Amino acid sequence: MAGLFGLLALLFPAFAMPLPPILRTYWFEGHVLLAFFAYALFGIGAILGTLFLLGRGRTLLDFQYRVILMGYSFFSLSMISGGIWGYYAWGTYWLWTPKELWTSILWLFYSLWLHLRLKGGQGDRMVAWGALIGFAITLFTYLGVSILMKSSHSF
Amino acid sequence: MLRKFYDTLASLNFGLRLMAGVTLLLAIGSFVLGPEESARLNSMPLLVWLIKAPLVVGWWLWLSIALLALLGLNTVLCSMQSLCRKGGRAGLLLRLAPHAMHAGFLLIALAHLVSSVGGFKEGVEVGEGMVIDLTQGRVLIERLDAQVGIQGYVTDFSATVMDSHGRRGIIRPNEPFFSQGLGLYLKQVELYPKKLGIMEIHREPGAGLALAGALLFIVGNVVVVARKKEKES
Repeated sequence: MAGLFGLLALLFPAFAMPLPPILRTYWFEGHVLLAFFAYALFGIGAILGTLFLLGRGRTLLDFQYRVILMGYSFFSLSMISGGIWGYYAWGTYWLWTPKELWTSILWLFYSLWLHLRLKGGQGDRMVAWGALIGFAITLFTYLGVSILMKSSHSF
Repeated sequence: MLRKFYDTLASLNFGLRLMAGVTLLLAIGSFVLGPEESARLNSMPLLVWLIKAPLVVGWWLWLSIALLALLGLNTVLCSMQSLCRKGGRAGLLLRLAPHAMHAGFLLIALAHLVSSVGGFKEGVEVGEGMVIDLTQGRVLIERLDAQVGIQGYVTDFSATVMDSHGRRGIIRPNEPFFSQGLGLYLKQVELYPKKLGIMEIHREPGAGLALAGALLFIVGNVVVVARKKEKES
């Protein structure tokens, strides 16, 4: 996945300008780094869900749960570091922009997904499909919002 | 009848439906809320915006708040039920951890509520020697500075300020100055044709609660992950 996005980046012209002063903080670096770890783990969760739906056995779902729980933890930490950064940078830990809304949607969706597992074995297929839907929301939160909507996350 | 109502309110299925409902409403809201309305909403406390905004623009947020209130109640009831059950073989720490996460979520929701009522934001253009009147004091802008890189971009900027108690501070990006419960944020400094700065004055009464909620959530989350790993090894 990293390789694919790396190749896609080659299509865009190089753009060199100094980092805006607002981005020079560890809270920002942590916020982005944690979010990307989470996105990658959500991606792995979706792959495991696909393999389960293709009939590769239930143990994949247990592994998927561990991967997504870690992704969810990273994502929660990313949101928190983003909130702390926002408070120091803009005076508020929350802004009503599409990016923040979709971040909350993604977090709420994976909260729902983790709770869905409490229903037990009856929802296995739903859980597997949920991880695929979750990754689609992840991609929209990362790419769709930046491309289609105006947000504070465009620097 | 009342028992059935309580069971529904405290059920996992109800919680799942509420989470799905809020998710869907926020997704719709992200499209309904255009850039202009979004800027307006960010310039005032949420409650003020909700009262002022036409229902056709704010309906999804009213509904989201209603569902979140129910989700909060559902969370409290589920946690209470779970804690009242016998412990079984699981340790106390592991049993408490998910509820610490729930409590963190509730505190963050409460923080938003507090900020939506008592939040404040105002922009002001400042120059050197200017005095900003706050509710219970004043802040003097002593000096404005900006560094411009070789490409012509502003690479850093700052303002040296002093409040009415004689406390001096330097405001830069990500480094606000706090005085009398208000935060002063420097957004921009222009050197030409005249040295001017753009400042914002903020009051965010929910920030402390949000931080407390976040810390509680992290602690619960770390315990859940650590105990899960411990159980597997």
